[in-house]
Amino acid sequence: MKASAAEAVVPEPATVAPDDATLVRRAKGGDLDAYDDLVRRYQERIYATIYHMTAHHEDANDLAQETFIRAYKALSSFKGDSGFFTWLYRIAVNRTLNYLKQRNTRNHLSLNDLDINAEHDPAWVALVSEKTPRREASLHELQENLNVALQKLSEVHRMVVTLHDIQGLPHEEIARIMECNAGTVRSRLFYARQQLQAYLSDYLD
Amino acid sequence: MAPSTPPPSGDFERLRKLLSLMAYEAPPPRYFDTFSGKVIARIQADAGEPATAWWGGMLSAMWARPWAGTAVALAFAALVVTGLGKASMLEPALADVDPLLSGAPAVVQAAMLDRALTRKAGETAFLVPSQATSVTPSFPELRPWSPAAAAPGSGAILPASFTPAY
Repeated sequence: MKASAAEAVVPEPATVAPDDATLVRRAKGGDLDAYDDLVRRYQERIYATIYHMTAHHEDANDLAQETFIRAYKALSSFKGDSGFFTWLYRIAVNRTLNYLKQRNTRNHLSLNDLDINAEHDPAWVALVSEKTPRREASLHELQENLNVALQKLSEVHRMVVTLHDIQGLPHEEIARIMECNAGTVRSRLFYARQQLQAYLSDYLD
Repeated sequence: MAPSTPPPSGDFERLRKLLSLMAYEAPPPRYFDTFSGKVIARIQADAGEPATAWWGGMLSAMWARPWAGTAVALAFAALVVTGLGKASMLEPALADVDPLLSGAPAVVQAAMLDRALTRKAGETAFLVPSQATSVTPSFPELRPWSPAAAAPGSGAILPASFTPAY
């Protein structure tokens, strides 16, 4: 009986999720379940990046799906020189930039709803408690103005802001994704922020 | 040469906080529950249509690269022009046969052209009889049918006959 009691208290080994390299190797062999795991792992980040670049949910949906399909078809060319995450982001970024170049100028936005937690974000709380010209602004109005301001930037500047200030990626990772050096990323970010400050001065002064 | 030196990040701190609010924008509820399933379904659908892969790929490649589409169109046009040129070279042979045939139906023209070309070939080539590929068939065991030969009990097969009902 002691043995059985001891067995009862032994914790089950935690299931360790396979790393990207393992899933990629399995997916290369045609294992779609493995690729499904990779999609689930990165779908939110890929979607969010494309969404903030396009400010359009339907476009982001199509481009995100296309990114994962293209990546699957190109898996055989993935040598593992960079991480799968970086490689996948590169496909998403290039596809999105190409799409935006082809897309005619469009002011129509198709924005997602804000998460209910946004109202409790310190940035928002600070904004509504300060005496700024937009003190009475609603959260949804701010959301729209932020997106409009972001859309005024050039594609590469918007991409850097999206990846760094919204997604939180470091400069070096962005440089690998955009295939440029980290200094270029920093200078683009500086220029983009300067422009955004001017566009959003009502909220910042 | 290094790019321009960025300022301290504190200069943009308020802007960064504002931009961080954009991370709260989320797609419709349960959107990501079905996302990967759609991707996998599309991959499987693409894999299940190999017949359309080659021409579909070619069409999309031509859309993506206009110069490739132009090159294919030019090659096709060149092929058509060459074909028309070859056809016009054959027309004098028909005229040699009989100028009056120019108004004849196409079937007659084709037959006369074929005969003229065969004659021309016969003038220039020597045909060895032993190498001829066609022979006149002969069947000595077959004789014309006659009622006398088909008498009952002779074993000969009689042709079918019938008597009208009226």
